[in-house]
Amino acid sequence: MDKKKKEERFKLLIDENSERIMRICRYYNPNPEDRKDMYQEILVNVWKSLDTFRGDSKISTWVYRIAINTSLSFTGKAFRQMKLMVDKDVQNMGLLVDDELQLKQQYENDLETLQAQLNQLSVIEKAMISLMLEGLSMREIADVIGLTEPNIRVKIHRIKEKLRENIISAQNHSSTLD
Amino acid sequence: MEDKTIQQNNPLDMSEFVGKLQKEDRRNMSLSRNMQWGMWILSIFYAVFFIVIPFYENTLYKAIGWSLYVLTFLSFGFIFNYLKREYRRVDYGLPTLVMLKEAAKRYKFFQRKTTLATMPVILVDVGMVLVTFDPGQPGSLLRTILVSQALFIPAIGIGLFIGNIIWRKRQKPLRDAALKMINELEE
Repeated sequence: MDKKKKEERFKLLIDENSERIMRICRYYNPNPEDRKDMYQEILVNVWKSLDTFRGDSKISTWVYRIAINTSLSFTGKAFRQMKLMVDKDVQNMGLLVDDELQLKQQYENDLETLQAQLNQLSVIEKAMISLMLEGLSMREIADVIGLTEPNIRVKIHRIKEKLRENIISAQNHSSTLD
Repeated sequence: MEDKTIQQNNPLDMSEFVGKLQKEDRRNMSLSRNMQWGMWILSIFYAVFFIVIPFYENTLYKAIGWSLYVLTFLSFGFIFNYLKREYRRVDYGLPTLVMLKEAAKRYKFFQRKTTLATMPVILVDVGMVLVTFDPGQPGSLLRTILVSQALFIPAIGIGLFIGNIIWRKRQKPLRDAALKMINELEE
C-alpha cells in the first residue's frame, strides 16, 4: 500500500472509530493523561497493523482487537495495575447482571461496590467485560478474543456469577458492620 | 472533558501524528539498517585489510581465519535483517489469544534466532583459533585452542549471563504475564 493511500485509509478509519477507541481508553484509565497516552498508543498500533488488515473480520472488530491487545500490553505497567472504570453513563451496564430489575438497580446505585468488585477481576476478565459493556455480541467478543462463541458464553457467565457472589458478600459484610 | 479535548484536537493532530509515526518508523528502521550495514561494512573491512591486501605474507590458516571473521559479520548482518523484518511483522490486529501466543514466543530466552546466532559465534571462535595459530611452533595448535577457548568461553558465558539478566528484567515478566493470560483463556 503506498504511503498516501495508507494515510487516507488511516484517517478515515480513525474518524469512524475514535469514539470506540476513546471509550476503551476510558474503561482502563481514570487519569486523563494516561488515557491520552493509551489513545496515542492504540493509534500507533493501528497504523503499524494497517498493512496486514485483509478484511477477514469487520473493521470495528479489528479496531477492538487492537484496542484490547494494546490495553493488555499498555506501557508494560498495565498487567498489574490495570483498572476497569465504569460510570453510570455506561449504556450497557445492565448487561453485567442477569438478575431481576431490582438487583440491577441496586448494582447501579452501589457503583462504588461494583467498581471495587470489577477491579478484583483478572486482566482478561476485565477485557471481556469492557467488550460486553461496549454492547458487542458474544460472536463479536469471540472474534476479538480468539475463542469460540460457546467458550466466551461460559466465561462471561462465570464472571457474572463471580461478580454477583462477591457483591452480595460485600453488601452482607457492610450490613453486618452497620 | 479530556476525551472531548482529544476528540476536538483529533483532526488537527492527525497529520502531525502521522508525521510522528513516520519519524518513529524511520528511526526504528534506520537503527536496524545501520546495524545491518555496520556488520556488512566490517565484513568488507576484514576481507580487504586482512585477507586481500596482506595475502602474500599471510599463511593459509590466517586467511581462512580472517575469512571466518568475514562470514561472522555477514551472518550477523543477515540476523539483524531478520530481526528488522520480525519487528515489522508485530501485528496488534490479531485475536488476543493469537497475539498473546506470539508475544510469549517472541519473549522466550532460547529461541530460533538464538540458535541462528550460535553459528556466527562458532565461526568467530574457529576464526580466532586459526588467526592466532602459528604452524611453525611445535604443539602450537593445542596451545592456541586451549588459550583461545580459555578466553572465548568465559566471554560467551559473561555475555549470556548479562543477556539473561536483561531478559529477566525486561522480557521475562512480559512472557510470564502472556503465559498466565493464555492459561486463563484456555482453561
